[in-house]
Amino acid sequence: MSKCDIGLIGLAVMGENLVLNMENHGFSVAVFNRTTTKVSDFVEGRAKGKNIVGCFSIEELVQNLEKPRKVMLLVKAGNPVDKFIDMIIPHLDKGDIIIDGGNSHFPDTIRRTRYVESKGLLYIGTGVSGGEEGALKGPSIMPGGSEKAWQAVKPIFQSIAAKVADGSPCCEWVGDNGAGHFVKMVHNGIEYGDMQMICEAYSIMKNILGMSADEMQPVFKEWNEGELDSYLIEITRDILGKKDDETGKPMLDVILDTAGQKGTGKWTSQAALDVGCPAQTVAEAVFARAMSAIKEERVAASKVLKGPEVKIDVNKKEFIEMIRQALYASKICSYAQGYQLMKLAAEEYKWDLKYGEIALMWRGGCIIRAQFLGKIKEAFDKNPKLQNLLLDDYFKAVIENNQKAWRSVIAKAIEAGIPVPAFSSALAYYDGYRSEVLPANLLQAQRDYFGAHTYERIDKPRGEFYHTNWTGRGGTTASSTYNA
Amino acid sequence: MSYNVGIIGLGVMGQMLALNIERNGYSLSAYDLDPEKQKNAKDKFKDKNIYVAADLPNFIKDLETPKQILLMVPAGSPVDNVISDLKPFLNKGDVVIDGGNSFFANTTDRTKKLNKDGIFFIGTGISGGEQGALWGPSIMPGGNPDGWPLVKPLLQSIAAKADDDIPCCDWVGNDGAGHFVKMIHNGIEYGDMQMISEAYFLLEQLMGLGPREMADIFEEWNQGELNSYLIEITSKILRKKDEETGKPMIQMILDTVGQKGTGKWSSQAALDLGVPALTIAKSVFARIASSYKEERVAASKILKGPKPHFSTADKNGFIENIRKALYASKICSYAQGFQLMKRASEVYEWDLNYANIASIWRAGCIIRAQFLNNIKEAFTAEPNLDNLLLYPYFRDSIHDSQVAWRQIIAISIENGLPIPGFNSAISYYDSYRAELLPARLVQAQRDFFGAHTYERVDKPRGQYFHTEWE
Repeated sequence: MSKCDIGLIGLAVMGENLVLNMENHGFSVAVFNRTTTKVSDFVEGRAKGKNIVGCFSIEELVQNLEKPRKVMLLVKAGNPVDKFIDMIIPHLDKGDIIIDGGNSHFPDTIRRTRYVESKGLLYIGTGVSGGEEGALKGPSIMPGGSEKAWQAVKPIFQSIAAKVADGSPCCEWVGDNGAGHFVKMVHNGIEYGDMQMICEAYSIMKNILGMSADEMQPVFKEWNEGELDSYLIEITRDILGKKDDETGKPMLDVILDTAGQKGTGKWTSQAALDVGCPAQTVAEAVFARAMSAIKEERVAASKVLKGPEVKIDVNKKEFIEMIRQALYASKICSYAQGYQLMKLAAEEYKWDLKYGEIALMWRGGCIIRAQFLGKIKEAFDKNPKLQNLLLDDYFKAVIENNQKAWRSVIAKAIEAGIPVPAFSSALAYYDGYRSEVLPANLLQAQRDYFGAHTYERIDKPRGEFYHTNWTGRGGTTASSTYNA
Repeated sequence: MSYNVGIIGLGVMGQMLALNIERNGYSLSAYDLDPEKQKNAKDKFKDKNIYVAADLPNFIKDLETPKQILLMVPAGSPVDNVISDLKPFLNKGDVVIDGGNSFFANTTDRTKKLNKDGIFFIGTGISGGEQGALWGPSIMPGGNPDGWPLVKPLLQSIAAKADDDIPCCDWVGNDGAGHFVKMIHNGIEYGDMQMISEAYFLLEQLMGLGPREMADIFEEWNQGELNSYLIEITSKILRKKDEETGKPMIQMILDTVGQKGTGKWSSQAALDLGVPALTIAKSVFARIASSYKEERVAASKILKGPKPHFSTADKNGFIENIRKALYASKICSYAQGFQLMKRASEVYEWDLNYANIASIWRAGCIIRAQFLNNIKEAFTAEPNLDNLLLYPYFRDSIHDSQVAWRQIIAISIENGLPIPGFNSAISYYDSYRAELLPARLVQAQRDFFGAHTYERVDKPRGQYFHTEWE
């Protein structure tokens, strides 16, 4: 019996679908699951008659693999990944490859790459986006880790990945150690931002224009045919059109407004804080979900805390177009933040990230797939060293064109008492980035006043620090322990 | 000769605290690893009842038992290093106090670890900068509650006293609670500073006022409900002239600001605990944005903003509106800080006393303000208050201010002036009072692409549904 091209551990829905996808592309797959009844269920069920070999121990799985062996884990992020790595290592030989396809936190992947390489093996940590359906039909795949392993897995990964219109696969080598999982994390952060901004557009239409789900549905349909064309706008269109079987009402109107959150949005915000990147829109989206979660408290507060008593008088058709422009401008700023974050992380962790390729990887298969990513690819093709997306001619022109509407929509929402934290933060990012002068000089003066933290002067070279004795009392020494 | 108290770490804060302790009638043994700092301290302490030791055995040998040793060393591994160096000299019942800016989770670990050997570890936040340390800081002790009675007289005597003579030092809670509360204090301080700087930004950039006029405005604001240390020093800063050029000092200072540990930690704690404390996070991000000075200068030449179109017939009325916007934003920022402490107290089982915390912050520390009396009053009247915004005084203040608040933000946005602090504060207010948020669309989207399920408005909480959308 010939040996399998790849082995996969972890037969939950994502794992099963990836296996079926690989098999469908002509690769033979050996599978194992800790609860072995799942292996039998799978080989006698969805995998029946296919080139898939069920294994009942790690040893058996490894024996069934072609060299260099490729063992892919699709298990829960965290401890389970480390445990499986330790169980697999004794059975592998030099040059064999362990692949983690779960949602691992990138510092763990950095650590694991080092560890697995120290055993003479190779390691890949890869982001896989697209949900269950993407896993089966073609996900976006973002691999990083031991570059030496890439050639061995490339044929498999690129054939199972989603393809964009010109046939190129949504899978390319991302970078060393944790780079793949980092990029996947930023993808998810951007997804948080996109979803929150679409929500804000919906909320403005609902609360200022008084539009129903039925009225909004054609608006999103139209938006999806223009520059906002994307998977998330498309499904929003479909969601707005869906009726509840039980009540006959629009489905959206019967869903409770409390959104859950898993790790990646939070990780992205923490990474932004750690590398010193002003990527605030993801954090706003995470906080918006946190706010949504305290439903009972909000209901009680809504009865105590008044909003403004204003009537916003606008032309509906024109205002809808203004909301669209605001959404697009905000989206550009959100992606600019994501790319700035990747850029700073690449410097910090010494990854050679290819920003155009990353945009291409996100063009298909994943949740944030959008027409718009083609523009990002073009921007980085034109100028691979582009410092910020906002400086690209196309994006610059869009924002210049949209900014009047963008500002007006946010101002009106605030006057009407409708929270628009992601739109506002995107604008704050834009205005902060293009401000030659910010009021941080006062912050510096305050810090020097109470903590002798020192400051730099506008008329002296950078890196020279000064302290003023503001009160005439106190010392002239700079602080070393107190940091505010 | 024996000494009442030991202190390790003779940087600015350590020196000032030593002098404060000595002034309050205690004798001290002091030590620093760095011979340079030892020498400097010896000069500073020459007529004082403070002995500067050359090494650890000499530092410790004449300390009274149970020993009370205050550590004023940089946060992180230095604290662990000092503890392990001290360990062989310590006995059951001794108290080690970490007065640095340690991360609260580390304080929890250290408290537990030392407790195994019967040593009481206290992790305390100390706020007030150099002057506060010398004349009376705000002190926020947590850690091992069995150690508190031993160090209470010392810490309360050196703490600031509020107008009613109550010391700004009281037991906060077990384990890392003291350092957590200090971290929140610093997060709130980040917010206060950011929002004050936004008010200044509007006065200067939108209204075109000069430093002297602005100094008068802040001085006036300091007479009213905004009365606080940070408003007071802002006024003084705006009056200060640069000795070198004769120009207003504020105009000579470069607009880039650093940010270290605590603001970031507060934001991360908010993310971890799922508390929407966005104003603190925005203040950290605003500092980060300011640090990209060269990039900003370059971008300012490429990226266009709106044409400024500000004019007002009622200058004083507009200034008053900025004041109202600042006050309403400040209330929301504190509401977030207290919400964050409330959540942490539930998760970590600290049983925090919010009225006491407000009381401790009334003097000595950087955020000291009149306003904290109102917060103390709110939590004294209603210890289980869900949110500061719901207390009548604050509710009414915001109701009175909100038209002005919204108008100021709208005008800033239309004029291209970033005011993320004000903006996030109003988002917080409007989200918190929103019976319905658009999160239902997020839930629908997540269920659409990932079968994440959702709850329904017409079914009990905890029942999850999934729809086949296509």
